Amino acid sequence: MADRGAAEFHPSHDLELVARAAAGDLAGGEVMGARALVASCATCAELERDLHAIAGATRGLGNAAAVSASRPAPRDFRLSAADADRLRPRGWLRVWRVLAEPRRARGFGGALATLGLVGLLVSTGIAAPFDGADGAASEMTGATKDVVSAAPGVGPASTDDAAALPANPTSSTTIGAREYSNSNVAAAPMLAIASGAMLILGSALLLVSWRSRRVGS
Amino acid sequence: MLDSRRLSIAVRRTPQIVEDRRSTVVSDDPVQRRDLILLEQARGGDLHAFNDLVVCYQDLLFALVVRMVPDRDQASDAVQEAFFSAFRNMAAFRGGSVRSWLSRIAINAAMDAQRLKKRRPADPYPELEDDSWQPPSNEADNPVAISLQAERHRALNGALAQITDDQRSAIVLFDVEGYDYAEIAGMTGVSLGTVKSRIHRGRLALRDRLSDRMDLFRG
Repeated sequence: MADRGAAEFHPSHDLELVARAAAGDLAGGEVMGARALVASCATCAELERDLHAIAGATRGLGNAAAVSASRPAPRDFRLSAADADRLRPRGWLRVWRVLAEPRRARGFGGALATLGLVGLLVSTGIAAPFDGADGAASEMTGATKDVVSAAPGVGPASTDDAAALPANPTSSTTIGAREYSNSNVAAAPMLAIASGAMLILGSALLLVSWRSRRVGS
Repeated sequence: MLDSRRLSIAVRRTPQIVEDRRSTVVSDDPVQRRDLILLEQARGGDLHAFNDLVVCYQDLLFALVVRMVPDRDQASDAVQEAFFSAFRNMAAFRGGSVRSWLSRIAINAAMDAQRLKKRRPADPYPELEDDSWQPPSNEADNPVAISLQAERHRALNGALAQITDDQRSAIVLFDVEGYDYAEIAGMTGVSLGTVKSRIHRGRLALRDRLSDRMDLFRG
């Protein structure tokens, strides 16, 4: 009577719990729950027995080593010289393969990615202040012009050192600052490009090393 | 001068021990030793050495893959791809058993073949054709028992071909090949819980497919 009652509720029973119990994959309170379920429901008990039988029969199918001893592969998988030639890496691919060797790729990729990131930060850092410096230099030029025109005999221009300066005292400092800033501003994009390339290459190597956890990838 | 203290210290310094992780570690197992020698030669560019490895393991790998990819043509392609992959990645071999290295590559190739099949669904897999294989039996074995076992294998192979690829792979690797949960998780790139779940659900699915033939398995 009790069995019949439980069997009516069988569709609502947790069949995966029974499967886990049959595989011995339960722990703690789940074991008690599964035992109670199997004890109260004849259909679940039958399911558990069937799963045991199926697992046993599957094990009896014979693993690859046993089967291969009596059943050869349907064709010959040996590589031809042309296959080997096609599969051997050449040129840059060879260099890439050397770099992408898992253990090497992890270290080298990490280092390259870090350098690239730092380079990118530095390049943006260089470009920003010198954009400002260029403007400041222009402003300084105008200001000095005003000072020179307003008081030609007063201030730094009146000293001996200042007398040795060229006719237009503003030009040397301004041009110097502008050249310096220009050279750095010109270097910034190059550094950014090189750093970006390093970052991409480093990330690619890290990706390769992560993927190569999978054997034979 | 030669007896100076500094020189004697320099001479007495023991050389740093460097761990040798190359695959040329001498193995006690003659088969493994043979495999490692062949692989070293293959790495040196000897195609014949690699092909000797292929000859040694092609039957094993095919038997392994055909359980996971029941279509024999696709299984053959997967095995060929596995050997191509092994040839390309010889440099990445980190030592240990060549057999298990090749098996893992073949399992990955089989899973790739299954993914390809999933992406281009056509007909379902045909039933496994290896029902002619039987474990070696004694002459004294009962012919009824032998034919019953053959029938059981046929039914089971048919049911295996009908469940999902993930469930079939997990069951084949666990029940048939004897890998443990952690190894399967590592091979298939999923969590331990997912592996267990695939095995349990796969067995439930097998039972579902075999519901009208369970008398073959009971008792």
